[in-house]
Amino acid sequence: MKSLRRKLYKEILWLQSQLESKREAGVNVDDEHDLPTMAAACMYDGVRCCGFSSHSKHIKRNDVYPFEPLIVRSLWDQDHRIRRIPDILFYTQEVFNVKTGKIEKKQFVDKFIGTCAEDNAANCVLRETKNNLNKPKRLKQLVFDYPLRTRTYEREKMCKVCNKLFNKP
Amino acid sequence: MYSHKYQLTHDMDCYFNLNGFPIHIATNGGLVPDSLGTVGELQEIQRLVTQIDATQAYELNREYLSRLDGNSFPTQEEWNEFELDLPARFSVFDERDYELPFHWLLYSLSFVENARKGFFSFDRIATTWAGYDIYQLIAWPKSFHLSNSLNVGNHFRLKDCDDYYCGSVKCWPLVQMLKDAELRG
Repeated sequence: MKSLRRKLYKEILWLQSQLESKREAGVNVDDEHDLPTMAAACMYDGVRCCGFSSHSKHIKRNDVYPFEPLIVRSLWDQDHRIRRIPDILFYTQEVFNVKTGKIEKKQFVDKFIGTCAEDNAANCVLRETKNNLNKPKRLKQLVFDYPLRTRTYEREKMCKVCNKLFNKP
Repeated sequence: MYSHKYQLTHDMDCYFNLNGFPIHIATNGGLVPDSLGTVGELQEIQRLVTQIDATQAYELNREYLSRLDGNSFPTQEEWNEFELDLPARFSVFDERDYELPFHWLLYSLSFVENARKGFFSFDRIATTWAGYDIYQLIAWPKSFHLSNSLNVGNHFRLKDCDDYYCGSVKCWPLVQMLKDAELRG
């Protein structure tokens, strides 16, 4: 786990230095001039990868399918409403309605799927281990370190969607 | 402005003028109003800001930093064990501040950089139930006295500011200000 964390810190340091030079170079609206919010590291059978929160623009441009098949299958098992990926995950929660004074069920849009740093890192590991005999069969076999905020190195909790997707407690 | 997806997944540095004061905010994945400028304008401000010398004396919001949970950050021992160099940018801190807890330094580094360049530097710390973001002041230039200069206090909701100052949350006066400074350079 320590080597995984070290790799992540190094990646963030590299990213920060890249950002500085990008900004100095001037305006380029097609390029990202900001740090990704979160970074995460994933490991399986000696393969270590780092990932960053990202939006789907890159995925479309590079014509890379946003998820490796294992993630798609897992998503499909969990929620059959997901027809198009990346899509939005809806969830319902009981909330207290101030106007009526009752507890009601309300539908929330949680977040975009496929934009988390964990998705990015897991995709990278699955891609790297694709041709291995001992490739992961289930997503819960992947090991994650805490996701970090790239600006401050502050550890955050894994989000609800990733917790569900990667079966982490 | 960038798409919502970009804003939600990036920790953007936004700069604007609020009631005549230069403000920097770290969005931490929050949404910002379109009035902060186009992508080109935002990147142009970021370029101009990189050219400002970080020379001003600064103040840290120690009260807020003391509330941070040190366990959520890497320790100095861990950092040394990994044989990682401290970011070269650490030189922006005053020597006296090296005494501060390591996680204070890690957290406030980027905010101090901006305060050194003359900006009131805020971090997005929470989102209200109604979806408005709360920004907390982390560092500011020492030459300003908070009580009588920045009426918004040491934290604000971006939406409130825009309403209160009648849509004054705009990047353009700041761009002009920075460009004038560059030309005088």
